[in-house]
Amino acid sequence: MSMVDEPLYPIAVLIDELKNDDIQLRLNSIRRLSIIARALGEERTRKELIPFLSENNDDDDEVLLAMAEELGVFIPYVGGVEYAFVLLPPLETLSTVEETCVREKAVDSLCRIGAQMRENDLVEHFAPLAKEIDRLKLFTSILVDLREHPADISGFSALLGCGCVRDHKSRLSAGEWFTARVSACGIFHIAYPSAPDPLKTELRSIYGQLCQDDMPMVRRAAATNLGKFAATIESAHLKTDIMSMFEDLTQDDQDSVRLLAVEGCAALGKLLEPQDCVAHILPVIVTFSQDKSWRVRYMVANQLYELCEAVGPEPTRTDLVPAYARLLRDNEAEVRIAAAGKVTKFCRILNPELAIQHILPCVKELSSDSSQHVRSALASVIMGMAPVLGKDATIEHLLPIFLSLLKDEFPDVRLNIISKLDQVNQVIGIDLLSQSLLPAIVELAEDRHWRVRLAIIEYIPLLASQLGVGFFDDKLGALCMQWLQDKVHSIREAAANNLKRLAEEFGPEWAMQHIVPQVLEMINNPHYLYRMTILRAVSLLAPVMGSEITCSKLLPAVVENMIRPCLVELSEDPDVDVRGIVDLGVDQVVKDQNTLDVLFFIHGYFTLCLDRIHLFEHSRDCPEELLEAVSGLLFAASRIDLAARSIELRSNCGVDPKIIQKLSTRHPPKEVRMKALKEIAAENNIVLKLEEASTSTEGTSDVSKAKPTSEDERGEGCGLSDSVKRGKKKYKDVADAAQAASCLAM
Amino acid sequence: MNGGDEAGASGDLPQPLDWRFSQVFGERSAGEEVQEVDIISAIEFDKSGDHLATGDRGGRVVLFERTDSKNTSGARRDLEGTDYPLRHPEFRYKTEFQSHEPEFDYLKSLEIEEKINKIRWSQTANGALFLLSTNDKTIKFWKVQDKKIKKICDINTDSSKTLGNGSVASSSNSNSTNACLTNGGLPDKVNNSLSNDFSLPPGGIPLLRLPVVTTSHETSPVARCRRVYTHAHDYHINSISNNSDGETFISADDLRINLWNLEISNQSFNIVDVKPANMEDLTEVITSAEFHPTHCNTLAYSSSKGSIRLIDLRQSALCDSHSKLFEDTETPSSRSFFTEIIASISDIKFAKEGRYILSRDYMTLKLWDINMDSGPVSTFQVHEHLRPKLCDLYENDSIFDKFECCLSGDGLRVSTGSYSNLFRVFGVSPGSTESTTLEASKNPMRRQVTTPSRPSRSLSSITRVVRRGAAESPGVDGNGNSFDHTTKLLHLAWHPTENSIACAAANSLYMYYA
Repeated sequence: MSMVDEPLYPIAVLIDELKNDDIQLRLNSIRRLSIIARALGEERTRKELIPFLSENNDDDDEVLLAMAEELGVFIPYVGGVEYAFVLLPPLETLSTVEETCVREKAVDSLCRIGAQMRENDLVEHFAPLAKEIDRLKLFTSILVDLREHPADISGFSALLGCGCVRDHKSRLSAGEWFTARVSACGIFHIAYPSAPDPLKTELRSIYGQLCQDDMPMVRRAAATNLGKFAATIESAHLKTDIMSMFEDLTQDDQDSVRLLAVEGCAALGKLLEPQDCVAHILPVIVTFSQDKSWRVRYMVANQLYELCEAVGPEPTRTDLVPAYARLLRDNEAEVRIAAAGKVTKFCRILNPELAIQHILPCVKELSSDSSQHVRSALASVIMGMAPVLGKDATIEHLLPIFLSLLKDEFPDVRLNIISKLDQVNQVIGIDLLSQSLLPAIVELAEDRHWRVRLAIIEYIPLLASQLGVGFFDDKLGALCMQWLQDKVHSIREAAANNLKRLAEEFGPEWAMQHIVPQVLEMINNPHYLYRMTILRAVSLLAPVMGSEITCSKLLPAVVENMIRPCLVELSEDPDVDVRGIVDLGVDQVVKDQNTLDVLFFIHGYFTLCLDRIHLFEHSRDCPEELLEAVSGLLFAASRIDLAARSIELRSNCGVDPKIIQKLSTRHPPKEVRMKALKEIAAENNIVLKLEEASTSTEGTSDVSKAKPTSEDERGEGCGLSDSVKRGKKKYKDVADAAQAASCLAM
Repeated sequence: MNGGDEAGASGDLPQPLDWRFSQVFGERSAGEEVQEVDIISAIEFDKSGDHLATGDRGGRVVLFERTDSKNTSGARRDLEGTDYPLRHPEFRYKTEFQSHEPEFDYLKSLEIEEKINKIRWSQTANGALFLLSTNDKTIKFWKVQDKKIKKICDINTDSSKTLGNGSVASSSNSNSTNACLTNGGLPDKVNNSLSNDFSLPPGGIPLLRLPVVTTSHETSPVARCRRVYTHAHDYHINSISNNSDGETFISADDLRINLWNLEISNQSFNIVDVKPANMEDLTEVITSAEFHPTHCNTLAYSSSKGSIRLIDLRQSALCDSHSKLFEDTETPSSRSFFTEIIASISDIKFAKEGRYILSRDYMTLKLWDINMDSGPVSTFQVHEHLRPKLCDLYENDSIFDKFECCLSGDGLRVSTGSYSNLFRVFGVSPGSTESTTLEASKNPMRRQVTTPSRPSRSLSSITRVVRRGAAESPGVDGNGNSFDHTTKLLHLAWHPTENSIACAAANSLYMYYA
C-alpha cells in the first residue's frame, strides 16, 4: 500500500484499473498503456509492465485486441528499437489466442515491429518465433512416441521443463494448439529476408511443413501467406521450394485450401519468369478451371485475367482463352457471373481477333443466360468491350447484344446497360441504339419499383449528354416533368435535382425554354407536397439560372402563386389569432436569393397551418407540431417585413435554424426584441406560449426539439443547404448571415 | 459375454457386449415430479470423448468431463489405460450455463422456446472447449475455458480497498468525486494530467507499481458466448453440423439448409431449399442433416418421406439437386394410413469414416452404404411389437416422436431408443445377430429379452398398471416389452472411442459401458 502523490493519482488509478473487474475500465487502461509506460519509465516498462502484460493474457478478446494494437506502436516506450524485442513475447502469446481478429492484429503488430527492428535482432528474436511452431511439432511427435513407450516418463517431464510444450493436456493436442501455427504463417515474410542462410533453409522447410499441416486452418493460413512469403524468397528457391509447396496446396483435399491457393496464383505468377510461370502455374490454373468445386472455378474466373499478363500472349491464346471460354459457359451461375464480370478486363488483354473469335460467341450466349444475375453482371461491363473491339466489330457483334439486353425483363440489366452508355457512344455513336433505348428508358421510368425509377433518374443527365438536346427534348423532357409528381418522395426529390443537372448540362437558355415554364405550370397543384417539390426545384434551379432570371421569372411566380394565396386565405380566417400572424407578413416581396429558399419553408408552414387551423380553434395552446411552423412564420415575417418591428426568438422555440440563417440581419437591440415579442404576446394566445418558450433560459441549443411536422416536409427541407453551398460565390452574404445567426442562437 | 474376449473370439463376429451400469446424473427420487425444463433434449460427446454435453428444455447446457482425463497428460492416461484395460470412462459434472432464453419474435408474433435442439462440439483450441448449441431459431457458439482464479493485491490506490473497486473505477472515466475523497480534491486534474502535455520525469515514477496478481491453482470453467447466428431460419432448426474444414457449419430447418462460416454471424448461404412455390404442394420436409465426417463438400439430409439425399457442395451454389438418393424401395407388405408417417426419418448419423449412414425412422434403424443407393445394407426392427398399436400411438401423437440414433466409434454397433426408457443395441457386422435391449435404469439388463420383437400384449396392459401404481419406482415396474409412451428415450450418444453410451431418460442422464 503505497501512498501516491497527488498529481500521480490519475495514473495510479489507470494502472490499478488494468485489473479492474469492469471490462470497460480495463479497456480504457490498455488504450492508455503509453501513459502508464511513460509514468513507469522505459526500464520499468521493460522489466515490469511488459512481463505483467504477458502474464495477464487471458482477458476478454476486446482487451486483448486493444493490447495487440497498442503493443504494435510501443517501441518508443520500451527504450527504442534496440529493446523492441521485449515486445515480442507478449505479442507472440497474443498471436496464439483463438480469436482470429486478435491473432491477426498481433501478427500485424509483430510484423510492424519486425520491420523496424535491426537485422541482427531480427535473426535473434524473430526467427525463433517462426521456429517455435516447429518445436511444437517436434514435441508433438515426441508425445506420440511417448504414447508408445509410456515408461519414459522422466524424459517427458524433462521436455515439459523446457517450457516449450504447451500441449500436454490432451492427446488430441497435436490439433489443439494450432492457432500458434496459424499466426506463425503470417510472420515468415518478416523473419526470412534477414535470416542467415542455414536458418533460411530451415524456415523454408518449416513453411513446407505448415503447408501440409494436419489442421486445415493452418494450411489455409499457409496458402494465404504464401504469396507474401514467396516475394521475399530468392528466385532459385522460388522455383523449387515454393513451387512444391504451392503444388501441395493446390492438391489439398479441402476446397477451402485450394481456393486460397488459386488466389495466390496470380501473385506467384508475377514473381516468376514467364517461362517458369508457363511451366508451373499455367497447368495448375487450367486444371483449376475444370475443378470439381464451383467455388474454385469461381475464384479462377475472378483471377484469370491477371495471369494473362504473367504468362505472355502465346500461352494466353493457347491455354487461357479456352479455359476462360469454358468458364463463361460454366454450369454454375455463380461462376458465369464472376466470368462475365471480367469479360472486358480479359478482352483488353487479348487482341481483338481473339476476342471476337473466342470470347464473343460466349458473350452472346450469356446475353440470353437463364440467370438474371449473369445477364446483369454482363450488362455492367459489356459496354466496355466496344472500345476494345473497334467500331465495325461493335456494330456487327456487340450491338445486337446491347439491344437484346436493353429489352431484358430484369430492370437491373437494362439499367446497367444505360449506365455505361458513354463508353459505346464514343465508338459507334448513339443513333444505332436510340431506337431501342427510348422504350427501355420509358419502361424503366414507369417501373413499379421506385428504386428502379430512382436509378434511371440518376442516369438521365448522362443520357442527356450522350443523346443530345434534340433527342432529349422530343422524348425525355416529358418524363422529367412527370417524375416531379411521383408518389414517392425520393423520386420527386431526385427529379428536382435532375432538373438542375439538366439545366447545367444544356445551359440556362435551354432551361428557360424547356424547364421553367413547365415547372411553373405545376405551381398550382392542389396538393401541397407537390407544390413543395416545385419550390424545391425552383430553389435548385435558381443558382444555375442566374439572379436575373430568378428575380424576373421565378420569384414573382412563386410569390404570386403560392405565398399570396396562402396569406390571403389565412387573412380571411375566422380566427383572430391567425389573422394576427398573417398581418405581419403580408405582401412583402423578397429581394434576394436567400429568401427563395425561405419561401420554400414558408410555403410549407402556411400549408401546414392551413391544414391544422382547426386545432387553433379548439385549443388555447399551440400544438407541439405547429410550434415550429408558427414561430418560423413569425420569424420570417419579422425579417421580410423590414420594419423596425422585429422579433428575436430563441432557438428553442422551434424556428428552423435554416430560416434563421437565411434571414438573419443585424443584431437588433434586446429591448426592442422583447418589446415586440410582448406586444405580440399580448395580442394573442398562441404567442403567449411562444413567449414562455422564448424567455426560458435553459436549453439554448434545443433545435432538435423542434419536431418535424411530417416526414415528407422534413425530407424536402434537408436539401436546401446544398443549394446554399452551391450558390456560395454569388451569395456571400449567406455565410455572413449564418455566422450572425449562430451568434444569435447562442 | 465379456468385452475383453472380443479380440480372442474365433470368428470375425464380435461377441455381443455385456452392458453395465456406470453412472447416473440427476436421478429421480421416488415420487419426484419431473420439471418440464429439466428434461434433456440433446446429448453429444466431443471428438475426443473426454467431454459430454447435454442440453435441456430450459435452455441450459450442462458439461461433463471424464474424470480420468483430468490432471494427467494424455500419455499418462494411456499408460493407465494399458495397466487397467477394463477401466471404463467415468464422467463428472464440469459446469453448466444458460445457453438460450425464451424469446418472443415481435414481427411474427411467435414465441421462441429456449429448448436446446442440438449441441455440436467444435474444434478445441488452446485448452478451451467450443460448442454450438441451437434452439428453434438461434444458434450460439460457446467457448468454455478453465480460468485460474486470480486475486489482485497490492495496488497503488489503497483507498480502493475501502471504497471498492467500482467507485475508484469511475473516477478515471468521469473525474468523479472519489478522487477528492482520497486525495484532498483535485478531480479536474485527473483528466488533465492524462492528456499528453502532462510532463513525466524521464526515469519514470518509482512510487507507481503494477498490481500484483496472485494466481491460485484452482480453476473454474467459464462459458462465454462468442457468436450468435440468428435470423436465418423461417422454420424450426432441427440440426446443426460442423464441417471437417473447421471453418463452416450447416443449420437445417424444415425446408432449408444454410451454410455458415463460424467467424461470420451476420450472413449465411442457403444451400438447400425445398420450399415449393406454393406451400400447398409441400409433401416433404427436411428432418435432419449432417456433414460427412471427412469430406468437406459432402453432406446428407433426411426427409419426412424416408429418403436420404447426399449432396455435393462442389456441384453448384444451390444444391437443390442431390447427387445421390437413398430410399428404401422395398414396398412394405401392407400399406396403411401410417405407412408414410412411420417412414419419416427422425435422425441420421454418418459412421466415423463416412462410408455408412445410419438412419432412424419410427419403427426401424437402417444402415446405408453411400456407395449403394439401391437400398439399406441392413434394417433393424426397434420395437416391432408396437406395430399393432400404431393407431393408439397416432392418437396420442407419440408416432411423431423423434428418436435419435448413434453408432459406436468402431462402427460395429448401432443404438437407438424406444419407449418405456428402453434402448436397443444392434451389431451391424454381416452375420451378427447381436441385439440387446437395455433399460435406462441402474440395472439395464434387468429385462433383457433375446427376441426383441416377441409380442407380449397380454402383459403390457398389466405392466402399465403396475408402473403407474408403483409411482415410477424403478425397482418395481414390470418386465417384458411393456410399453409406456410417456417415458421415451429419445436422445442418446455413443462414446467416440469406447463402448460407452450416454442416454437421457427425462431429466436423468444414464451412462453404460461394456
